[in-house]
Amino acid sequence: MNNWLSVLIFLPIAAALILLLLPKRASNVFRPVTIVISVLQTLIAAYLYAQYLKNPHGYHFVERADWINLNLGTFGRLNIDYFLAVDGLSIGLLLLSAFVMLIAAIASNEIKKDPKAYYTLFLLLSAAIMGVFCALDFFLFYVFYELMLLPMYFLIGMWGGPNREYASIKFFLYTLFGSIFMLLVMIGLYFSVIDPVTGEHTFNMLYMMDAANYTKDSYFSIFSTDALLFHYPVRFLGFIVLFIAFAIKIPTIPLHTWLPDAHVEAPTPVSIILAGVLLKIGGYGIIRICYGIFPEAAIYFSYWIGLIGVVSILYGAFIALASTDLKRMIAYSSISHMGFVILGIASLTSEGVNGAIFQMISHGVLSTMLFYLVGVIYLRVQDREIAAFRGLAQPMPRYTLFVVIAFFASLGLPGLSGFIGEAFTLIGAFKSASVNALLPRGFAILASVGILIGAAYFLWTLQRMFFGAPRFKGAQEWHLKLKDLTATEYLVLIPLALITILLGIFPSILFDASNNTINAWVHETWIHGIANLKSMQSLLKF
Amino acid sequence: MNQAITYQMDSLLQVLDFSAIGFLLPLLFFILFSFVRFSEKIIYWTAIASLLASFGSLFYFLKPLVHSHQYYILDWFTIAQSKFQITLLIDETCFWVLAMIHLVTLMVIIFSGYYMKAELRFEKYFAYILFFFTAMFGLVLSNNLFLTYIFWELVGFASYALIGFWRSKESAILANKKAFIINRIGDLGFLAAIYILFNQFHTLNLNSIEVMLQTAPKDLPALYFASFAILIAVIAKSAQFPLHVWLPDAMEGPTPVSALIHAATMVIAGVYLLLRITFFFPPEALLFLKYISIISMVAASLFAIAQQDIKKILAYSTISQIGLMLFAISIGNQPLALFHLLTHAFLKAALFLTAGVFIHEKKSQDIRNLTGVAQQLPIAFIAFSIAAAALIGLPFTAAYLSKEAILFSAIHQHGFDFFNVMLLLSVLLTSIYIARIWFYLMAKSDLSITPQTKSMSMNLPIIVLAMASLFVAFSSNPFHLQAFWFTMGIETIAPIFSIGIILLSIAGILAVKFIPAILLMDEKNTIIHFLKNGAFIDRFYEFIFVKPIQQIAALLKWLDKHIVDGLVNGIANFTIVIAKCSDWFDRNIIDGLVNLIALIAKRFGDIIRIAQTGRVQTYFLLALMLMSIVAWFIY
Repeated sequence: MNNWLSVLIFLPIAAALILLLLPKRASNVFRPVTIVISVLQTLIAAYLYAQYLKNPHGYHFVERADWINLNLGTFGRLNIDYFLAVDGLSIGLLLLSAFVMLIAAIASNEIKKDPKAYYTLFLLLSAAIMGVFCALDFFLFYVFYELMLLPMYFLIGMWGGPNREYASIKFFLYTLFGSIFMLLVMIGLYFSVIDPVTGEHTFNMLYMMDAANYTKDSYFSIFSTDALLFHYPVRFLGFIVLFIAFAIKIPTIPLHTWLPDAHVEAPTPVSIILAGVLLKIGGYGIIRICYGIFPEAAIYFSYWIGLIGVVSILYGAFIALASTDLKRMIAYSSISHMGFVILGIASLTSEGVNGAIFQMISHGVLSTMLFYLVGVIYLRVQDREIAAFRGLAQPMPRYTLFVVIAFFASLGLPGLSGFIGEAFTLIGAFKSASVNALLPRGFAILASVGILIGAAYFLWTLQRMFFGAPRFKGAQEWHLKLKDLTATEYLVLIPLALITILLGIFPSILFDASNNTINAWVHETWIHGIANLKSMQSLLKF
Repeated sequence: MNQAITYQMDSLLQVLDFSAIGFLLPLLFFILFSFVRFSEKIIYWTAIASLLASFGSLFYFLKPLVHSHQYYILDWFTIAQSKFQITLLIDETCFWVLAMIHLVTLMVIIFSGYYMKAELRFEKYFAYILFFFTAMFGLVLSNNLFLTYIFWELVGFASYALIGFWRSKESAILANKKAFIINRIGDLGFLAAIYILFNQFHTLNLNSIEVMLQTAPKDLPALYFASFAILIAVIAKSAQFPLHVWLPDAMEGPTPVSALIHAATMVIAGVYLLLRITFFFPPEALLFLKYISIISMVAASLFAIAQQDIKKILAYSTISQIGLMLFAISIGNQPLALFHLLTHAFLKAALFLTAGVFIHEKKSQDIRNLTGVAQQLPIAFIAFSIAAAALIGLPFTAAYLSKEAILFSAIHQHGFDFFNVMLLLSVLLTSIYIARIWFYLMAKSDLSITPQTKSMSMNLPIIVLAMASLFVAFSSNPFHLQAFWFTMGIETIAPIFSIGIILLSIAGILAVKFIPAILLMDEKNTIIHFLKNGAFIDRFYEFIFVKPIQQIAALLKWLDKHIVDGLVNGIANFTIVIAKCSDWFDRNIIDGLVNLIALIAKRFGDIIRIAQTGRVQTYFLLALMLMSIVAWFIY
């Protein structure tokens, strides 16, 4: 059977349709169905991962079919393919997504309002996420990308906290802002790129990555002699626009302000999906699409991209240090940790990019754990102000154990997954200066300071909230409410903690899958980027 | 990287067997104790048994391999084209340090049965100790900087967990946070060294780097930067000036932990790392190390004199003694640093454990309250006295051999220069601060206490460690380094020189005996106040780093909320205003224009309507008028 990826995408859609047909009063079926579907998806993704590891080169599980084939008269034909495949870059993220969705489904037991709508949207979101990581046709990617937005908007806007409408519309508009420009670039690319086999325009991303497939006079062609807009090569603008679209998703400074609001208002499982999966689509998009299609612009702007990474690391860390709300602190720590991803990618070294992928997956697991842990106390006392708690370790020792694991993993304690990701993005960033001269060495050193501040805010929070003599804002009433973990909570936290430890001790689990793909990717991005840059500089004289 | 590694398969298996017993067994018990509840007895004896097993395997499996000086390499993971490997080096240095760690850990575990009895979270305490042991174990065996860094941080984590073991104790949880964060500063140095060396050599195996350096030029700038970066890590981990401030605070942890981690083992990790890595250090880095070590030695001894808390005195003493080891390295005498590392580990562990007995029985850490100990706790007192004599460097102790050898080697090389005068000053100060404690312990006390326990678990460890502080542990001859265990080119000591040093130490002791002000250390004196607070370095850091960082964080938070997000909301509001304006424009101007035209048409219609009277005569008249006007125009 060779259409596992379609199964992965359409399984939740089919389940969503079934849920829609069920009556509303069958409220105790929705969650189990969702969990079963998520388990199946995780198993399939794990199977695919294991299959991929047998021969970790190139694209696997390729599915390709004509999807939309319209005659547009003078514009020629509109060709959109249903083109799915995964490589070392996406397979790990695919597995992570399936797993995070499973955790989120289990964590959804706190959702009491309108479960039918909730789980239908949940499954729709799950399908869209799988699709984003598998699609290699830009149009198909865009469809899935936009499809994610809708359920997410409702999941925050309907099941969120008191200020949910503001947060959800902010999230929606921010993302839409990015994706509208993405649409423009996508259409521009379509009319520039020719399928070398059929001679027609195509949305195929792999063709877009090869400079030879561009028609000579198109705006995005590197051989064009007049493709300037505002005295800037159009390809550069295309890159910038796409980068902004994905930078909003990651999010980087200064496009990040939707994230804390969305997290603070979103219910726990939605926060988990947001931090665990959605942010990774930004990093994935930058590697696959921005760098893949516009390598010369990536090289040209790498200093600035690296700088954005460093600033995100430090800025996020500082604000996390000043945060008084636990969830907000973790949201800003997410921004800081995703900054390492940007920095690693900008280094354009194999260490840096492998590290970035590792960091994304590690952060996916850790942020899932962190947001779930916040949810645990919020569910008990409806409060998550750091100052409202003191000495939580006494009433909740087991809970504190998991908090310690999650915090130390996040602050980069070796032996846990966060360390490997951070260490290799930084090693890559430092190496960049002597391999390709894209980033100054100071970037790696400055970013390392982020690790120090990371230790400071996590340990400070531990000290203030969990240690010391117990004293709670809610006094005696809270003492009764603050019970240690329940069975469901163990079920969520134990696998997450084990994965963190496993990845920290055996990083080859991920590197074995990504290394070949990334080595080739770095090599090609560099070779093509430099060649394109030379050609464009001689033709456009910018 | 391509260095041929030739070793017999069975010797690799031996190393693996040893690692399995010494590393994985305690790790297993750590996990077990963390999650499953056992009785105190089972935990206690299991911990002892696993240490004994490891000790046995150290001699059984590892001892035969020691002289082969071999590297054992296992592949770990590959990234780009570089292999990251688990590289172990088995040689004499590693064997002796491991043996010391085993002995001290074993003694501390035995002692903890007495000291931590009936403590809440007893099992966690032993779990953490075992975890620390495995991390330290890995740190000593590792010969790959990446792996070393991992264990380097893990010992720091164990130290964090154990300093804050009493986690509802406010001072303890502040101290462990401080210790971890200051060590993090050092870790940044370590990380920077990793970036630099990996960038230069594409490997972090020390043996590969050493091989490559044989053909590479010695004055690579990378080596220069890497060695300074490593020194930052060493300064933090080994609590040297100016990053020493965490160690006195770390004394908030249980006393056996102080003996194990903050005296004998973890804090010497910096010294151990330098023993492995100084082969690429340029002379400037060694000179820098010399300055750091001499400042640490003298300043810490001065701070120690002004303290009243017995554990703080011992903590500052540790800083000072590690300074001595680093000094030995800085003058190029690595074997002596190792020798002093070992002798100091035993004597300092003995001092801390006996101090633990006093504290436990007297319920006070203030030396002024520890009077009468000499009569009430004679065994502990004798053990303390032996270890104190060793610290001072009196004959018949092991530290006499190591300390004299370092001093002799320094003065033999450079005469009485600035460094060596400072060195002798710190010898004098050492005898003063330790004699202060000793005279308080000797003093008569009115209060008679009856020691609660006289168990083996209390006495055995302090007796063993005190014995290990004597010369017999290292040499058959108390005055000569005719080592029967130790053969690493240590020079002999000139007798005259030795007598001079002993007299200097005795002068210190007599000064305490006959000058009451020294014994008393009244804090009203400004200088003593200054020294007691560690020269206010803590407050300086608070003022220079902690507060500004918090202020920057608060400022950025404000900026983020009001400027960055304010801009976003501003754009949103601006859009809404524009929308409202265009709505107004649309309703009043555009729509108004349409309505105006309609209005004009209506008015016009109204006017025209006047003519629509319905009378034929009027119509006829109007038609006639119109026709006459037309006719007038034509003609």
